Amino acid sequence: MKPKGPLTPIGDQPTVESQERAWAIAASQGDEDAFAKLVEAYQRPVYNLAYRMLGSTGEAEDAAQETFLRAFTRLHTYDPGRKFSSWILSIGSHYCIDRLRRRRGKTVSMEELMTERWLPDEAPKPEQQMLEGEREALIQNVLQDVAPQYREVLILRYWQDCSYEDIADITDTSVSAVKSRLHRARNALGEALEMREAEQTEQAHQRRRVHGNALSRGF
Amino acid sequence: MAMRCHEASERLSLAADGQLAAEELRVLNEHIEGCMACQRTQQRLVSVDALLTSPRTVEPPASMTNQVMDRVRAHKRRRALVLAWSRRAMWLVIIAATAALVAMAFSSAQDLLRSESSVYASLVRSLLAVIQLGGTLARGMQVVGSALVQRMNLAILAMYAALAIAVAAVWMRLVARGPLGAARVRGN
Repeated sequence: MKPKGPLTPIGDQPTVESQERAWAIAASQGDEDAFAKLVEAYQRPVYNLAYRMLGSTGEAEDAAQETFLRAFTRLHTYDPGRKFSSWILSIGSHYCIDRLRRRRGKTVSMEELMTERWLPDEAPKPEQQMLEGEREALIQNVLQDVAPQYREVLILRYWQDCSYEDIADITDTSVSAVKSRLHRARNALGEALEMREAEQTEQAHQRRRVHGNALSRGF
Repeated sequence: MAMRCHEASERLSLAADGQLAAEELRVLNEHIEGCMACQRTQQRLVSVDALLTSPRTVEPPASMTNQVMDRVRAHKRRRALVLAWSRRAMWLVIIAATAALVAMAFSSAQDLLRSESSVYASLVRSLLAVIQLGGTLARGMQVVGSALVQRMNLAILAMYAALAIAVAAVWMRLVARGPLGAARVRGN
């Protein structure tokens, strides 16, 4: 499968995109170094996508590797007219959603829950005072609270900085579907955020009560 | 101008992405000012946007590229192994088929030996034909073997077709009852 004509028309500036296309075509013809360059260039976005989709670094690492391996075996299906970033992110997000679907049947152990999820040990503070670590943990938690399809568009919008057109390309839908999905995703995440905040307030009250009782008993 | 709450809510999301024109924003704000439910939605979207804007990214492990490339190479090796074995299996089929063909030719020749007087000529002819066919077959299979990497199923199909044609041709020549064999005998 040889490319038709030169990759970049003569006189055209070689852009990052055309460079990536050239790598992808070389890789599909068996050039391992070209594929390694693509992995190098895309490990960060793919790993971050997987981390936010799946919620843990261990799973993200595995998912990122799996994504690249899938990409390698499907290189012959890559359409050079499409952005390479969209193609690889599409493989990554499909893989993550498949993985989440498979996970749904399994039960998560309590131990996993304790390590994967952030448990508040302090009373909530106003948002602007929130420590970076807490904010990070809150983001991870609320992302896991919403449906994978919502999580996916939010990650693509906020982490990958994708346009509506890119998101449509990656998720295999229309731009208008992306708009409404993003709208519903924001609302769902907002609701999850409100629930988390209410929970934290409740827990803080309980702690105060327990703490108060302990003090009054002389501990 | 009246605007439904659902529409307003969707437009709030567009506004968060900077996708609304000034006029559209003005109409939206007008609606929100007079609508408690949409003010709540707006509040919600603002806090979501505040939480997610310029979020932290995580660094992948430094060994990521190497690990991926190791897996890629392992995958390639596995694939090459499968191909090598299927090629071996194909040769086995070819050898078995050729052996069957030769056996068939000899039994036919023996039949001729018993029934006809010009047995020697026909035996030599048929043996020559078998050897010739075997050579052609082997050369053909070599070509097929190298094409196998690309299109395995097609190659196997072609191989069976070639075998079927060869069997038919040999059968016709040896038995000498078909038009080909009969014509040649008479012509010579």
